[in-house]
Amino acid sequence: MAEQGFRTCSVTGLKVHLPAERLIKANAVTAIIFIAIGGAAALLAALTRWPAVHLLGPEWFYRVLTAHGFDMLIVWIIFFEIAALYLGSAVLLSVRIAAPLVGWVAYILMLGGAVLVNIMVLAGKSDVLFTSYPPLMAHPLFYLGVILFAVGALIGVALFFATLYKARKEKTYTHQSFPLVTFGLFAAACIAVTTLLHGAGIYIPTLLWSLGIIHDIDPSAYRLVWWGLGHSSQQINVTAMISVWYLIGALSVGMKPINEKLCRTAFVLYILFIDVASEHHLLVDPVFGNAHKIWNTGYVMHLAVLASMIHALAVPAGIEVALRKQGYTKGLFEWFKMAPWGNPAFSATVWSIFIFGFLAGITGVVFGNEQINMTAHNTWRITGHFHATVVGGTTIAFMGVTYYILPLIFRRQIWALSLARIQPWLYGIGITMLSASMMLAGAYGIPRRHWDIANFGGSPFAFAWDPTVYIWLGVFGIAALLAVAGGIIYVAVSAGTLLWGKKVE
Amino acid sequence: MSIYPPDKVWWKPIDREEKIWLVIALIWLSFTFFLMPVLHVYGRQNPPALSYRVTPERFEALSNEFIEKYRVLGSDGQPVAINGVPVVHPQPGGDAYIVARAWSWQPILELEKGKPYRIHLSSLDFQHGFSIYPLNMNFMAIPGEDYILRITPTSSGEFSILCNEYCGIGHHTMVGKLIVR
Amino acid sequence: MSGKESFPAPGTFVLALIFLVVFIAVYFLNLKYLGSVWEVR
Repeated sequence: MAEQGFRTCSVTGLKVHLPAERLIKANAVTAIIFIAIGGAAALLAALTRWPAVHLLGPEWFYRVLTAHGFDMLIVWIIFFEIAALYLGSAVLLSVRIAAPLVGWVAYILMLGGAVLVNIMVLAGKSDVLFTSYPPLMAHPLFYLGVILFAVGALIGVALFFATLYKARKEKTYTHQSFPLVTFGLFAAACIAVTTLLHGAGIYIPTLLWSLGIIHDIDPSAYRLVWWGLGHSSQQINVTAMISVWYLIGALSVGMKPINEKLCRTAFVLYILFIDVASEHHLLVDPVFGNAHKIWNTGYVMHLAVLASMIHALAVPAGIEVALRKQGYTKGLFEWFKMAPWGNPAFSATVWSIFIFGFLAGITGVVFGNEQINMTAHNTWRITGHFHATVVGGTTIAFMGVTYYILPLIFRRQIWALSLARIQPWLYGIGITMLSASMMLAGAYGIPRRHWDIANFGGSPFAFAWDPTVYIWLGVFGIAALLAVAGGIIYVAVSAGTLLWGKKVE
Repeated sequence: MSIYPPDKVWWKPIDREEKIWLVIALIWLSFTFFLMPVLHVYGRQNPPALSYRVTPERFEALSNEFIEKYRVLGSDGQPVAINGVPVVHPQPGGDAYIVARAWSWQPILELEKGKPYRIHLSSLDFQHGFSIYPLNMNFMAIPGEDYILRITPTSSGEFSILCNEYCGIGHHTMVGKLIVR
Repeated sequence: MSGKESFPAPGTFVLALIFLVVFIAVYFLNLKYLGSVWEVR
């Protein structure tokens, strides 16, 4: 007989605290709603940057691009991460969530902030793009919205820590060691604290500036602190994504990390060294010296890269060992051929590992080189790189884990499983083509965030690009359509499952 | 499994292949790191790190002075301009200015191939991105900072300058020109 | 574990080495590209 307020999961044997489950559901559903909004914005932005279509006018292009950046990089991903944190603490440790009411306060603050930002952007009051670099000024409510979201997320992270403490005090798990997934999420939460403090730290003075209380925001100082939010938030994603790889590996093939010590050390390297890497956005800025740039983006970042290279071996190796144990031992790659490809969560994870490694990881280190950065900064090469990290890496991994959250937390069988099976492939192929074509076009100098690369809005200095660029721009357009189709299927399968999925148990 | 607490003793030695991978990764990443300072000694393309505080007013005054002094005169003795933007021929080895403002680049520099210049780059209003096409070299133009690029053009022809940092609704019209003879 | 015992995941090790080769190739390709732009410091 289950303890009051709990149910026992029939698949994992874990005790699930029902108020924690409700919080996970709310955060996950909200995340999916925002990926739908951000995806609509993505489609409009891509159809405008595809010169063959050039859909929107400049006002709406920059507006939609602002919404796309904020809804995807911040709202979708952090809502999903908060859901993952509650899952990694309360559910994996079979403990009551420390204070469900606080979780709802966090949720309402985040939702309110996100809605406020979207209203301010779509009303045309804040055409400042995601970075909102001063002296461009947005409506004060835009900055307030970001602050509310950041504070809400910080409260959610605090609730995660409190729940871990509760589990430790009540000894709900053995040997005083968290499961690896929880440990990884703990690392992500540590990074989230510094990230969100940077966000509050830069947006509070900027809010005061927009209200006329402070007269000046130094643009260089803004860049330094803002990237502590803008890039570090992507480091939360990396860390959470790798935790999700371990989670899906465990659920899909029964994977066990081959060396716990190494995996955990790698997560600690992330906590210690990954944040300063955000300074690679400042490599061709004035003000900062060469030694400062090299130290922050090079040495320390490379210890974080070492951590990624450890996981790059450990995760597939864990999967290989598990599959070999199931009897697929022929040659080097029988395990790979016989892997559960019909499981959308598994194929999503493989796509995530592939894109994150080959496209995102490599270009991250290459473009982060102080010298090479001169030929990449603010071009589409950068946009291509971070679509590989955040979309090809994190988003696909989160889509994959959704296919476990639906049956295990929402307790509904996946609706239209055959659609779900092709979804990671469609999305993976789309994003691979998308980020590769962006990086190739960017190598010719195609800038990011530009409404009209074909005619420069009629400028008398307009020039013609190397015609090869238009091949990559064409590939980009097709890739964007594929990815959006994959995104639509994801949202449709999730919504269909919640509406019409057969109840489990 | 990674969703359950690990075995009681999980601090175990790392096996051989994982150690090999760790060592290879460390060697490669140390190389990519140490290459950066080494390139500052042996490389010819290094991001400049020299900059001064300057007010936009002061920077505008200095650049106007520079434009007056080095303006290119046509055969008729009149100053040359392309689309209304003055063409300027700075002294090789000397200072030159490039002013970014919403939404134009000023002036049009006429440089000599193989000669070094100290190009002062700054913005009078928003943050702008200075990008030379088709070279694909990119630097930030930030209001309040006089960023000094010690540049030696090693190829000749007509180059375009485009803005690659969003600077308002006319951002995409912000194109300029640079000539190397 | 003794040094003689074989790695439990040889396929992954091969994949990781392929990754490393691609990494190094892309890195040097970009350094070559960098060498083609103007001199600046």
